[in-house]
Amino acid sequence: MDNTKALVFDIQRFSLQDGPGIRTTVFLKGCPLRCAWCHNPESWSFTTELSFDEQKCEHCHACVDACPSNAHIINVDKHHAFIRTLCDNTGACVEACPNSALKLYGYDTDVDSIMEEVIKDRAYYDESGGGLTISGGEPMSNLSFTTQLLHAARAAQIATCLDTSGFAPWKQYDRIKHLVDVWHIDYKATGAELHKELIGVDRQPIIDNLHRIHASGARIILRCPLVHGVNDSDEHFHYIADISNNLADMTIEFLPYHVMGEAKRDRIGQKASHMPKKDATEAIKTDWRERYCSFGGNESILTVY
Amino acid sequence: MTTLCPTQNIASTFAIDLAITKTYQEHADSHPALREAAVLAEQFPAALLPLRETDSFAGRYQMEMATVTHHIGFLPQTQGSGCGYFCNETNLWADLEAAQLDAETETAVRAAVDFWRTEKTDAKIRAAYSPELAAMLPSDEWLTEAGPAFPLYRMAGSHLDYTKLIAYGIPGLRTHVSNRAQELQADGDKNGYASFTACAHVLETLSNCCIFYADQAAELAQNTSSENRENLLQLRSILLALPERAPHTAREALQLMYLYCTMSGANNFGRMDIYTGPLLLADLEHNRTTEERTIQQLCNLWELMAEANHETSARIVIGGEGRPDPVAADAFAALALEATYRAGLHLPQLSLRICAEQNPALYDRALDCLGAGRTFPILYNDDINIPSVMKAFNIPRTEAIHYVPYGCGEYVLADRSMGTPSGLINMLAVLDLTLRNGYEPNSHRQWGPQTGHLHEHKTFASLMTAYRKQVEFFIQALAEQEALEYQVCGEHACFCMHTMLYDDCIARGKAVFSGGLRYLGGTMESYGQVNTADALHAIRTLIYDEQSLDPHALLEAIDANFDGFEPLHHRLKQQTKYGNDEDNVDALAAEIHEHLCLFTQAQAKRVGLHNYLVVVINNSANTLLGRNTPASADGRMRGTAMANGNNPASGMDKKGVTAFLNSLLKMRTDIHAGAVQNMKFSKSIFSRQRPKLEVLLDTYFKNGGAQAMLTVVNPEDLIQAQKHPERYQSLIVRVGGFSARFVELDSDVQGEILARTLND
Repeated sequence: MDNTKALVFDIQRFSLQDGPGIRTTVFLKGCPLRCAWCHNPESWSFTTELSFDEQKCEHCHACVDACPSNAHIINVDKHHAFIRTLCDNTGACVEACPNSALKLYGYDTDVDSIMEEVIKDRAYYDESGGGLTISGGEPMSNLSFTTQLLHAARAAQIATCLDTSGFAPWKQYDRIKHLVDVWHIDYKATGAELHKELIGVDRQPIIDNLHRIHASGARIILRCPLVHGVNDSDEHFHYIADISNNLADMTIEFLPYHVMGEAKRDRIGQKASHMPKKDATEAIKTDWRERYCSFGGNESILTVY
Repeated sequence: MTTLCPTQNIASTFAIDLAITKTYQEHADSHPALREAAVLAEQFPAALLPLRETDSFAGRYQMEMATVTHHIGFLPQTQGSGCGYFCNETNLWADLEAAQLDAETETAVRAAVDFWRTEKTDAKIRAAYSPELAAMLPSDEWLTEAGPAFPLYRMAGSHLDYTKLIAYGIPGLRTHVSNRAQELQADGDKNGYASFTACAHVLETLSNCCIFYADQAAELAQNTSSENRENLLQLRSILLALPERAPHTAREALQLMYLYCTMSGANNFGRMDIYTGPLLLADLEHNRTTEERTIQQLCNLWELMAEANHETSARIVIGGEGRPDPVAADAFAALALEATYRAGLHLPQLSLRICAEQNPALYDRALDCLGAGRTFPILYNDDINIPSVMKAFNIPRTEAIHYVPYGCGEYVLADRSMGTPSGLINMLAVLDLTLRNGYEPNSHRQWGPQTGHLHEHKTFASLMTAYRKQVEFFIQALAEQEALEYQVCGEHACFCMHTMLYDDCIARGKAVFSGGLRYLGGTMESYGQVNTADALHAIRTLIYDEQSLDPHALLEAIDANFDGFEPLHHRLKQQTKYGNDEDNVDALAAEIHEHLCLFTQAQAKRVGLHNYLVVVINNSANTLLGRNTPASADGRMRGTAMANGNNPASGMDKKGVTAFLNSLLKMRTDIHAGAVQNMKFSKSIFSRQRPKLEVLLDTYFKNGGAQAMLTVVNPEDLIQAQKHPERYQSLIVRVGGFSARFVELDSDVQGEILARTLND
């Protein structure tokens, strides 16, 4: 089999919230969705991106000397400025920066290299019931790589978890479903209009895939990102409550919105989102739980983070 | 001036100093053991601090801080002022200035100081150095001078046989040693006779201390609340009973142990569950006490231990194989854990040995304790440690099951071995010498052998050979010094209180350091191993593999503390570091570790010790030595701390805790006498993800983890992480439905987490 390459933006060992047990999560870069609340905006683009943290910059201008494409310049006030449009993502400035203000999101790697790292924690997976989680971005956007990585994990007898938006053609899920031990599938908004507005894509294919994957006998953790005043309608909780009863052996996680993605957006040159500037309070979280239960939702399978 | 306890006055401290000096001088022609007994009779109870009305145990004595009750005396170790007979000039001069003594007394004190300058034990040790040894170890000033190796003067880390003390009691032990003295006299062994006669005298002094405190308890009981009165009267009757008979209850046993431990200066409390457990069970069965009352008393005892502040000692070991009555021992261990949980103090250093035969509830409770941010108990894995100790010490399993960590983590065998650390090596300083042909620039000494300059080594292998030669040169010197230190101590004193409670001394009729002790061993403290591995890896990569760095440029940058060499400094810091589960640098660290340990181990036979082993321990010496250590090729700046124990250099482990643990597991555990591993977890992960954390620890222990010191991070740590993110690269915190590296979060997110942790 070819040792296909992929653009990865992080490999996180000792992941505790990305599936059962102790896991290593591989984050693939690139996502077709544009969820307004995304806390990993650096995962959207399918190419490498330079992140510039202005707070850390001490205007030493080491990057200016290092940059081959003049993307770093010195302003009249001797302050450093970064012109993203000129950047070729060579990473030369990252090497040069003594203050770690610059960082390159995304590096090319391959299945063998990833597995070499993943296998190192085998003892911890075996003891904890953990394994490899493939996340993103959207892992289904690089299907051949995801498939190969799942195969490699299976061959190494390492359990797998796939973190997906559910927005990919069914035949793609069908191709890999026998290689996935646990599915993380997102359910983000109820109402066709709202879904399109918040996520940027249609809701129905996601619903269809959820049911089909469930019908295949897979173990599913349904993950619901919740933003107060944005997607936490009664209709939404009603729908989730219904699924909790209709799809057996599934668990549900409510993931309250967190502001951490905002500053990252700024550092990679994205516009600020229109999301709230505050995290959900405990009172709001309690209200979500109560509303879910009031529509007959199965509380025993729900975790609110 | 030093701070005094309200009931003491400075003049009285000098009265003790002068009385001790006079007694010592009057015994110039006596046997050293009898002289020691006479000195101890002057020292105790005079130097003990008074009982307070809320104390449940007697035996306050402070020698670790500025608050001292005498400056001259006899103890196996005193902070910074040597072993055996000591004269602590730093405190003495400060107090003398404040004391306003009459001229005659002041003259006498000054004369005493002059006398002790050559008569104190550490001076005698230094005077006994051969010229060759003195050239290899020219300085004792490890705190203020730069250098590769320094001797230390102390008889530290004793774990005495308190089981025997409690079984015999004072009168029983006195009869035992007196009878032995008579036998030895009949055999014509004058030395033996004097030694054990002295032991009997010392037990008399111990009895006097009991009565000294019994009287104080009676006096305090007259004017206090009824609750305190009951406690004090009970304490009085215990203190009056101890000179007459062996302890009957757990409280009596702990009182006897604590007074003995205080007077002997052993400062480590041994396997407390073994010697207290059976008495505790009997107490509970006969309704002499309750668990709750015992916990409260233990909390009180823990407070006394914390006050005495023997920071680098004060070990209590619970759990583990080799306990004759595991059920009784477990019962006590559970209460000891509870006391540690409730007391929340920096001492004692409660240490839990983990083995299959004990109640698993102990381990669970230990994790509760750690999760609450206590940092104790320190965890020791018998499955790894027992086979490792067998191999490192070359002893059978039946002996290895008695291993105990003392002080900062050195292993000895309870009741049967000593392994005082009499020297330290600063490996990063050795590496610096290696780069400069054995020359130490600060002291202008050709301190090590001439093994060539960095630029003269055409291959990395050649540089490594030079590095090993330098290391070996200093280890040989330190091993010789260790043996010599024991020899001089043995000649100068009997160390009666150790001799009585260490295996084989009474049977052999010999003092502890004069052939009595079953296993006379030594340890050598090593610092800077990890930085050395990181630095050598950077040198290998840049100078030899890539050939992208000029050796002269590296030395210039080091000499300039990287000032003006920022790009090179950045490159050095970017090189792979130990602690990330990367085989290249981890293998180098393991190689350096193995060489150091095996060469050290091999010295025992040469210098006539049972064992001589490296310890990679946890104290502040990594920081203190770092202050005098030049910048290094791992990118570490001049004067900054070196990595602690076997841990990665601060903040250099960037791949999370499993990678960090895997790196640790590559270091052999069966060739040294203990290495420590610090691990930091956030409070919320500890409480919310406890099952996964337990699996993490179990896996680490199953795969060869010998030891773990867990810190659950509190808000102060998070504030530090905000200020110094480079040191907290691997700190993982829970954000929402996920965890994140704390230092990568934005300041406002960090602030939020900080606030949340405060609310926990």
